[in-house]
Amino acid sequence: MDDDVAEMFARAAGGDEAAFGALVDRFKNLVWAVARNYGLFGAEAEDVFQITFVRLYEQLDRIHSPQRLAGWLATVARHECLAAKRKSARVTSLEGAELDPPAPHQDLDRALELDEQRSAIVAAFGSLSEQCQQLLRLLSADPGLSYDEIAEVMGYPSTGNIGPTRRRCLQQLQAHPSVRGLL
Amino acid sequence: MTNDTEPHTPDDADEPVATDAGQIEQSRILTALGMALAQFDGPPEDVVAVAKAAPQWARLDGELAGLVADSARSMAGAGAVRGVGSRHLSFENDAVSIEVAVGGPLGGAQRSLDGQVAPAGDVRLELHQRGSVQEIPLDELGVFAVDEVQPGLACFLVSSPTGVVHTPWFTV
Repeated sequence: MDDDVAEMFARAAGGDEAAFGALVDRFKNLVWAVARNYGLFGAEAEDVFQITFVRLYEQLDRIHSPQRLAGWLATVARHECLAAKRKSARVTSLEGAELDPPAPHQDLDRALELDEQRSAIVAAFGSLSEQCQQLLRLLSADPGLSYDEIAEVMGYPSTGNIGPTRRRCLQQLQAHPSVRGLL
Repeated sequence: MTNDTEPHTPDDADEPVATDAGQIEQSRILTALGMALAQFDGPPEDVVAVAKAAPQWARLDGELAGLVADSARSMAGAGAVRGVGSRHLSFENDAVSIEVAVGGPLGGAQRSLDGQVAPAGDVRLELHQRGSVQEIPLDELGVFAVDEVQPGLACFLVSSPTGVVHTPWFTV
Protein backbone atom coordinates (compact mmCIF):
# COMPACT_ATOMS: atom_id res chain seq x y z
CA MET A 1 0.00 0.00 0.00
CA ASP A 2 1.42 3.37 -0.90
CA ASP A 3 1.77 6.18 1.60
CA ASP A 4 -1.07 8.14 0.01
CA VAL A 5 -3.54 5.35 0.68
CA ALA A 6 -2.26 4.92 4.24
CA GLU A 7 -2.78 8.61 4.85
CA MET A 8 -6.22 8.60 3.18
CA PHE A 9 -7.25 5.65 5.31
CA ALA A 10 -6.07 7.27 8.54
CA ARG A 11 -7.88 10.50 7.71
CA ALA A 12 -11.06 8.68 6.67
CA ALA A 13 -11.00 6.65 9.88
CA GLY A 14 -10.74 9.96 11.72
CA GLY A 15 -13.99 11.16 10.15
CA ASP A 16 -12.67 13.03 7.10
CA GLU A 17 -15.37 12.41 4.46
CA ALA A 18 -13.25 13.89 1.65
CA ALA A 19 -10.55 11.33 2.47
CA PHE A 20 -13.18 8.59 2.32
CA GLY A 21 -14.15 9.89 -1.12
CA ALA A 22 -10.51 9.68 -2.16
CA LEU A 23 -10.42 6.05 -1.01
CA VAL A 24 -13.48 5.34 -3.15
CA ASP A 25 -11.71 6.87 -6.15
CA ARG A 26 -8.58 4.83 -5.45
CA PHE A 27 -10.34 1.47 -5.20
CA LYS A 28 -13.42 1.97 -7.41
CA ASN A 29 -12.01 0.09 -10.40
CA LEU A 30 -10.99 -2.87 -8.26
CA VAL A 31 -14.41 -3.22 -6.61
CA TRP A 32 -16.14 -2.76 -9.95
CA ALA A 33 -13.90 -5.42 -11.48
CA VAL A 34 -14.97 -7.93 -8.84
CA ALA A 35 -18.65 -7.15 -9.40
CA ARG A 36 -18.28 -7.46 -13.18
CA ASN A 37 -16.36 -10.71 -12.71
CA TYR A 38 -19.39 -12.23 -11.10
CA GLY A 39 -21.41 -11.47 -14.21
CA LEU A 40 -23.22 -8.58 -12.58
CA PHE A 41 -24.04 -5.42 -14.45
CA GLY A 42 -26.47 -2.52 -14.20
CA ALA A 43 -28.33 -2.17 -10.91
CA GLU A 44 -26.90 -5.37 -9.43
CA ALA A 45 -23.28 -4.36 -10.00
CA GLU A 46 -24.07 -0.87 -8.76
CA ASP A 47 -25.67 -2.22 -5.58
CA VAL A 48 -22.63 -4.40 -4.86
CA PHE A 49 -20.35 -1.45 -5.49
CA GLN A 50 -22.39 0.81 -3.23
CA ILE A 51 -22.80 -1.61 -0.35
CA THR A 52 -19.11 -2.60 -0.43
CA PHE A 53 -18.07 0.98 0.25
CA VAL A 54 -20.76 1.37 2.91
CA ARG A 55 -19.28 -1.71 4.61
CA LEU A 56 -15.85 -0.09 4.36
CA TYR A 57 -17.11 3.07 6.00
CA GLU A 58 -18.81 1.08 8.75
CA GLN A 59 -15.64 -0.91 9.44
CA LEU A 60 -13.03 1.84 9.13
CA ASP A 61 -12.21 1.80 12.82
CA ARG A 62 -12.07 -1.99 12.93
CA ILE A 63 -9.66 -2.56 10.03
CA HIS A 64 -6.26 -3.03 11.63
CA SER A 65 -4.32 -3.84 8.48
CA PRO A 66 -5.05 -1.06 6.00
CA GLN A 67 -2.14 -2.33 3.91
CA ARG A 68 -4.46 -5.20 2.98
CA LEU A 69 -7.33 -2.92 2.06
CA ALA A 70 -7.47 -4.09 -1.55
CA GLY A 71 -7.91 -7.70 -0.44
CA TRP A 72 -10.44 -6.71 2.21
CA LEU A 73 -12.56 -4.83 -0.34
CA ALA A 74 -12.30 -7.66 -2.86
CA THR A 75 -13.48 -10.16 -0.24
CA VAL A 76 -16.42 -8.00 0.85
CA ALA A 77 -17.40 -7.33 -2.76
CA ARG A 78 -17.20 -11.05 -3.48
CA HIS A 79 -19.57 -11.87 -0.62
CA GLU A 80 -21.98 -9.18 -1.79
CA CYS A 81 -21.81 -10.57 -5.34
CA LEU A 82 -22.69 -14.03 -4.07
CA ALA A 83 -25.62 -12.57 -2.15
CA ALA A 84 -26.78 -10.71 -5.26
CA LYS A 85 -26.48 -13.82 -7.38
CA ARG A 86 -28.59 -15.74 -4.94
CA LYS A 87 -31.33 -13.24 -5.72
CA SER A 88 -30.85 -13.39 -9.44
CA ALA A 89 -29.51 -15.98 -11.84
CA ARG A 90 -28.70 -13.33 -14.39
CA VAL A 91 -25.22 -13.76 -15.78
CA THR A 92 -23.51 -11.89 -18.54
CA SER A 93 -20.07 -11.01 -19.76
CA LEU A 94 -18.72 -7.80 -21.15
CA GLU A 95 -19.98 -8.80 -24.56
CA GLY A 96 -23.39 -7.27 -25.01
CA ALA A 97 -23.12 -4.96 -22.05
CA GLU A 98 -23.59 -1.27 -22.64
CA LEU A 99 -20.33 0.60 -22.55
CA ASP A 100 -20.05 4.00 -20.96
CA PRO A 101 -19.15 6.82 -23.30
CA PRO A 102 -15.49 7.76 -23.20
CA ALA A 103 -14.53 10.48 -20.77
CA PRO A 104 -13.84 13.90 -22.29
CA HIS A 105 -10.21 14.80 -22.92
CA GLN A 106 -8.56 18.11 -23.54
CA ASP A 107 -6.21 16.89 -26.23
CA LEU A 108 -8.75 15.70 -28.75
CA ASP A 109 -6.38 14.10 -31.24
CA ARG A 110 -4.54 12.16 -28.58
CA ALA A 111 -7.84 11.33 -26.93
CA LEU A 112 -9.27 9.94 -30.16
CA GLU A 113 -6.16 7.88 -30.70
CA LEU A 114 -6.31 6.56 -27.14
CA ASP A 115 -10.03 5.87 -27.42
CA GLU A 116 -9.43 3.92 -30.61
CA GLN A 117 -6.69 1.84 -29.02
CA ARG A 118 -8.66 1.19 -25.88
CA SER A 119 -11.83 0.35 -27.80
CA ALA A 120 -9.83 -2.21 -29.76
CA ILE A 121 -8.45 -3.71 -26.56
CA VAL A 122 -11.91 -3.89 -24.99
CA ALA A 123 -13.30 -5.49 -28.14
CA ALA A 124 -10.54 -8.10 -28.08
CA PHE A 125 -11.07 -8.64 -24.37
CA GLY A 126 -14.76 -9.30 -25.03
CA SER A 127 -13.81 -12.14 -27.37
CA LEU A 128 -11.83 -14.00 -24.69
CA SER A 129 -13.23 -16.87 -22.66
CA GLU A 130 -15.11 -16.02 -19.49
CA GLN A 131 -12.25 -17.43 -17.42
CA CYS A 132 -9.71 -15.22 -19.20
CA GLN A 133 -11.93 -12.15 -18.86
CA GLN A 134 -12.35 -12.76 -15.14
CA LEU A 135 -8.66 -13.30 -14.48
CA LEU A 136 -7.38 -10.44 -16.63
CA ARG A 137 -9.95 -8.06 -15.18
CA LEU A 138 -8.57 -8.70 -11.70
CA LEU A 139 -4.93 -8.70 -12.80
CA SER A 140 -5.33 -5.40 -14.63
CA ALA A 141 -7.30 -3.62 -11.90
CA ASP A 142 -5.50 -0.88 -10.06
CA PRO A 143 -4.52 -1.37 -7.28
CA GLY A 144 -3.57 -4.98 -7.89
CA LEU A 145 -4.39 -7.98 -5.77
CA SER A 146 -1.97 -10.67 -4.64
CA TYR A 147 -2.27 -14.09 -6.23
CA ASP A 148 -3.71 -15.39 -2.94
CA GLU A 149 -6.41 -12.73 -3.04
CA ILE A 150 -7.14 -13.40 -6.71
CA ALA A 151 -7.45 -17.13 -6.01
CA GLU A 152 -9.97 -16.38 -3.28
CA VAL A 153 -12.05 -14.07 -5.46
CA MET A 154 -11.94 -16.51 -8.38
CA GLY A 155 -12.74 -19.48 -6.16
CA TYR A 156 -9.52 -21.30 -7.12
CA PRO A 157 -8.28 -23.92 -4.67
CA SER A 158 -4.70 -22.62 -5.04
CA THR A 159 -2.64 -20.00 -6.83
CA GLY A 160 -0.81 -22.55 -8.96
CA ASN A 161 -2.84 -22.03 -12.09
CA ILE A 162 -2.84 -18.25 -12.13
CA GLY A 163 0.55 -17.62 -13.72
CA PRO A 164 0.15 -20.00 -16.68
CA THR A 165 -3.45 -18.91 -17.28
CA ARG A 166 -2.40 -15.26 -17.14
CA ARG A 167 0.23 -15.83 -19.82
CA ARG A 168 -2.11 -17.84 -22.05
CA CYS A 169 -4.90 -15.27 -21.81
CA LEU A 170 -2.57 -12.37 -22.52
CA GLN A 171 -1.17 -14.19 -25.53
CA GLN A 172 -4.72 -14.59 -26.85
CA LEU A 173 -5.38 -10.91 -26.27
CA GLN A 174 -2.17 -9.91 -28.04
CA ALA A 175 -2.97 -12.20 -30.97
CA HIS A 176 -6.43 -10.72 -31.53
CA PRO A 177 -6.60 -8.96 -34.93
CA SER A 178 -7.78 -5.69 -33.43
CA VAL A 179 -4.88 -5.56 -30.98
CA ARG A 180 -2.04 -7.08 -33.00
CA GLY A 181 0.44 -4.36 -33.89
CA LEU A 182 -1.40 -1.81 -31.80
CA LEU A 183 0.79 -1.91 -28.72
CA MET B 1 -2.31 3.38 -13.71
CA THR B 2 0.60 1.07 -13.33
CA ASN B 3 1.10 -2.53 -12.42
CA ASP B 4 4.34 -1.99 -10.61
CA THR B 5 2.90 -3.97 -7.74
CA GLU B 6 2.03 -6.87 -9.97
CA PRO B 7 1.94 -9.93 -7.76
CA HIS B 8 4.41 -12.75 -8.08
CA THR B 9 4.33 -16.00 -6.22
CA PRO B 10 6.61 -18.99 -5.98
CA ASP B 11 4.16 -20.79 -8.25
CA ASP B 12 5.66 -18.90 -11.15
CA ALA B 13 8.90 -20.74 -10.58
CA ASP B 14 7.40 -23.87 -12.10
CA GLU B 15 6.50 -22.12 -15.32
CA PRO B 16 8.68 -22.12 -18.41
CA VAL B 17 11.13 -19.23 -18.28
CA ALA B 18 9.72 -16.31 -20.22
CA THR B 19 11.98 -13.77 -21.84
CA ASP B 20 12.35 -10.37 -20.24
CA ALA B 21 11.01 -8.80 -23.42
CA GLY B 22 7.97 -11.05 -23.33
CA GLN B 23 7.30 -10.24 -19.69
CA ILE B 24 7.63 -6.53 -20.33
CA GLU B 25 5.30 -6.78 -23.32
CA GLN B 26 2.70 -8.67 -21.28
CA SER B 27 2.95 -6.16 -18.45
CA ARG B 28 2.41 -3.40 -21.00
CA ILE B 29 -0.70 -4.97 -22.44
CA LEU B 30 -2.05 -5.69 -18.97
CA THR B 31 -1.60 -2.03 -18.05
CA ALA B 32 -3.25 -0.94 -21.29
CA LEU B 33 -6.14 -3.34 -20.63
CA GLY B 34 -6.61 -1.95 -17.13
CA MET B 35 -6.82 1.58 -18.50
CA ALA B 36 -9.18 0.53 -21.29
CA LEU B 37 -11.53 -1.28 -18.91
CA ALA B 38 -11.48 1.63 -16.47
CA GLN B 39 -12.50 3.96 -19.32
CA PHE B 40 -15.06 1.80 -21.11
CA ASP B 41 -16.32 -0.54 -18.41
CA GLY B 42 -15.69 1.35 -15.20
CA PRO B 43 -18.26 2.26 -12.55
CA PRO B 44 -20.69 5.02 -13.66
CA GLU B 45 -19.95 8.42 -12.14
CA ASP B 46 -23.29 8.64 -10.34
CA VAL B 47 -22.65 5.26 -8.72
CA VAL B 48 -19.24 6.41 -7.53
CA ALA B 49 -20.94 9.52 -6.10
CA VAL B 50 -23.38 7.31 -4.21
CA ALA B 51 -20.49 5.29 -2.77
CA LYS B 52 -18.81 8.50 -1.65
CA ALA B 53 -22.05 9.38 0.16
CA ALA B 54 -21.65 6.30 2.38
CA PRO B 55 -20.86 8.46 5.45
CA GLN B 56 -24.23 10.19 5.03
CA TRP B 57 -26.01 6.89 4.56
CA ALA B 58 -24.30 5.30 7.52
CA ARG B 59 -25.52 8.11 9.76
CA LEU B 60 -29.14 7.17 9.06
CA ASP B 61 -30.71 5.09 11.79
CA GLY B 62 -33.10 2.28 11.11
CA GLU B 63 -33.59 -0.69 8.83
CA LEU B 64 -32.80 -0.68 5.14
CA ALA B 65 -35.57 -1.04 2.56
CA GLY B 66 -33.88 -2.37 -0.55
CA LEU B 67 -34.47 -1.27 -4.12
CA VAL B 68 -36.51 -4.07 -5.70
CA ALA B 69 -37.41 -2.44 -9.02
CA ASP B 70 -36.12 0.44 -11.11
CA SER B 71 -37.67 1.13 -14.48
CA ALA B 72 -34.50 2.98 -15.54
CA ARG B 73 -32.69 -0.36 -15.42
CA SER B 74 -35.51 -2.54 -16.65
CA MET B 75 -37.76 -2.13 -19.62
CA ALA B 76 -40.40 -3.91 -17.57
CA GLY B 77 -40.95 -0.90 -15.34
CA ALA B 78 -44.42 -0.28 -13.97
CA GLY B 79 -46.64 2.43 -15.37
CA ALA B 80 -45.62 5.92 -14.45
CA VAL B 81 -47.93 8.24 -12.61
CA ARG B 82 -47.11 11.26 -14.71
CA GLY B 83 -46.87 9.51 -18.02
CA VAL B 84 -44.04 8.89 -20.43
CA GLY B 85 -40.65 9.99 -19.17
CA SER B 86 -41.13 9.12 -15.50
CA ARG B 87 -38.91 6.63 -13.73
CA HIS B 88 -40.55 4.19 -11.35
CA LEU B 89 -38.75 2.82 -8.30
CA SER B 90 -39.90 0.34 -5.67
CA PHE B 91 -38.31 -0.13 -2.25
CA GLU B 92 -39.39 -2.64 0.34
CA ASN B 93 -38.46 -4.64 3.37
CA ASP B 94 -40.54 -6.68 5.78
CA ALA B 95 -42.05 -3.59 7.40
CA VAL B 96 -42.71 -1.09 4.63
CA SER B 97 -42.86 -0.54 0.89
CA ILE B 98 -42.40 2.68 -1.05
CA GLU B 99 -43.42 3.13 -4.66
CA VAL B 100 -42.30 6.33 -6.35
CA ALA B 101 -42.34 7.82 -9.83
CA VAL B 102 -39.65 10.38 -10.52
CA GLY B 103 -40.83 12.86 -13.12
CA GLY B 104 -39.26 15.76 -14.90
CA PRO B 105 -37.51 17.85 -15.69
CA LEU B 106 -40.75 19.77 -16.18
CA GLY B 107 -39.75 23.00 -17.82
CA GLY B 108 -36.61 23.12 -15.72
CA ALA B 109 -34.03 21.01 -13.96
CA GLN B 110 -36.20 20.14 -10.98
CA ARG B 111 -37.89 16.79 -10.48
CA SER B 112 -41.27 15.69 -9.18
CA LEU B 113 -41.96 12.68 -6.94
CA ASP B 114 -45.33 10.90 -6.89
CA GLY B 115 -45.83 7.75 -4.91
CA GLN B 116 -47.22 5.83 -1.99
CA VAL B 117 -45.99 4.42 1.31
CA ALA B 118 -47.57 1.24 2.62
CA PRO B 119 -48.84 0.51 5.13
CA ALA B 120 -50.36 3.94 5.59
CA GLY B 121 -51.39 5.39 8.94
CA ASP B 122 -49.18 6.94 11.58
CA VAL B 123 -46.22 7.35 9.25
CA ARG B 124 -43.78 10.19 8.61
CA LEU B 125 -41.87 10.37 5.31
CA GLU B 126 -38.66 12.37 4.85
CA LEU B 127 -36.65 12.97 1.70
CA HIS B 128 -32.94 13.29 2.47
CA GLN B 129 -30.67 14.95 -0.06
CA ARG B 130 -27.17 16.33 0.23
CA GLY B 131 -27.40 18.90 2.98
CA SER B 132 -31.20 18.95 3.28
CA VAL B 133 -34.11 17.05 4.81
CA GLN B 134 -37.67 17.61 3.58
CA GLU B 135 -40.78 16.17 5.22
CA ILE B 136 -43.23 14.99 2.57
CA PRO B 137 -46.96 15.19 3.40
CA LEU B 138 -48.90 11.92 3.11
CA ASP B 139 -52.66 11.49 2.76
CA GLU B 140 -54.63 8.85 4.63
CA LEU B 141 -53.69 6.25 2.00
CA GLY B 142 -50.00 7.07 2.23
CA VAL B 143 -50.02 8.78 -1.17
CA PHE B 144 -47.65 11.70 -1.74
CA ALA B 145 -46.84 14.19 -4.50
CA VAL B 146 -44.02 16.69 -4.32
CA ASP B 147 -42.61 19.06 -6.94
CA GLU B 148 -39.43 21.10 -7.06
CA VAL B 149 -37.08 18.34 -5.95
CA GLN B 150 -33.47 19.14 -6.71
CA PRO B 151 -31.84 16.57 -9.01
CA GLY B 152 -29.11 14.46 -7.44
CA LEU B 153 -28.70 11.88 -4.73
CA ALA B 154 -31.66 11.20 -2.49
CA CYS B 155 -33.04 8.68 -0.04
CA PHE B 156 -36.32 8.24 1.84
CA LEU B 157 -36.64 7.76 5.57
CA VAL B 158 -39.92 6.38 6.91
CA SER B 159 -40.73 6.68 10.62
CA SER B 160 -43.63 4.83 12.21
CA PRO B 161 -44.47 3.60 15.73
CA THR B 162 -42.84 0.29 14.82
CA GLY B 163 -39.49 1.79 13.82
CA VAL B 164 -37.48 3.64 11.21
CA VAL B 165 -36.75 2.43 7.69
CA HIS B 166 -34.60 4.10 5.06
CA THR B 167 -33.91 3.40 1.41
CA PRO B 168 -30.51 3.24 -0.26
CA TRP B 169 -29.28 6.40 -1.91
CA PHE B 170 -30.61 6.77 -5.44
CA THR B 171 -30.44 9.49 -8.06
CA VAL B 172 -33.40 11.67 -9.03
